[in-house]
Amino acid sequence: MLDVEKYYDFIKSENVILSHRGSLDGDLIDGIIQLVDKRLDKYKTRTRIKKKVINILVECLQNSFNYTRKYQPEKNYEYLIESPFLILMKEEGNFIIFTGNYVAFDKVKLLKEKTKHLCTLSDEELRVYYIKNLNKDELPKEGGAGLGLVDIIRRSKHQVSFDFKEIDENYWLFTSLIKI
Amino acid sequence: MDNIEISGTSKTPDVKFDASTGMLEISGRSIPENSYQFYEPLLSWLDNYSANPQELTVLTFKLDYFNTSSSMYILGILKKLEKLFLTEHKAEVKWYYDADDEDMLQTGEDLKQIVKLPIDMIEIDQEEEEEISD
Repeated sequence: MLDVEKYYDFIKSENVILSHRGSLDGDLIDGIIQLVDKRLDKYKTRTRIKKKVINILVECLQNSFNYTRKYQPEKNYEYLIESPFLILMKEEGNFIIFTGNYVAFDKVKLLKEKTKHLCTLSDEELRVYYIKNLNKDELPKEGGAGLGLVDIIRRSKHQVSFDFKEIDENYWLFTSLIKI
Repeated sequence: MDNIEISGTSKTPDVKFDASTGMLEISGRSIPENSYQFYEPLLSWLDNYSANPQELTVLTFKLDYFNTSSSMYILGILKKLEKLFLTEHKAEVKWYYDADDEDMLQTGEDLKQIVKLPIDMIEIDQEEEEEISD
């Protein structure tokens, strides 16, 4: 006999609005965003906060999608594409986004350096970085603009923590914990 | 030349580019994974339009959401208009943002720093908007 109350209490206690684990594609990201949009209306979220949550979620999910689909290493590819996860919850009046995905070993060093650098920048320095990197002559034909992380830091007003954990010789787990 | 009229979806915006009036508008959501596919035809249209533009071109943005990959193309569109403006054509941009949406205001201000164009930041009063839509 399943302990229904145990699972229901778990969902209630953690205040989970939405969670997902597994591979991502465009339609799935679209579905998640539409669902969150409706759920945030139920929470009577202020427009400003709702827009922040949705914009940050879009960047997180599209970053995960790009990292797990665009950069295809030779080994254990399935392992990588199934790695993205997302949890959106409400905690003491704030929204918490916890998201992540595996990153191939050879991409980790650069990503670590980038997140470390971005987290040291002030609001004004982030603005300068954003403008400089936005203003490029060549427009990318696929993937993102490489500005997702800086956008997340700016919109969350620095309430973000990036973390890396080694999984095996091929992959690291990259996570973002964001408070809005 | 043909006008562009595209209905918005859950991830792409409404687009109305009217070559006969010079009124261009992008509104709604712009969060596609591949912004190139969506925006490239708009950039090409602007190249053609720029060969024979109206006396005044007004570009209006009324965006609810947009991702960083769209923002590069939004800047691309503004740069096309900037070229017109710098060659003695009248052009203006209206950037609408919700009174409550500091991020949309910030992006408008960021874009204003990059292009040499008159960009009007126009605040939308949400309660007023809701009354109108009721």
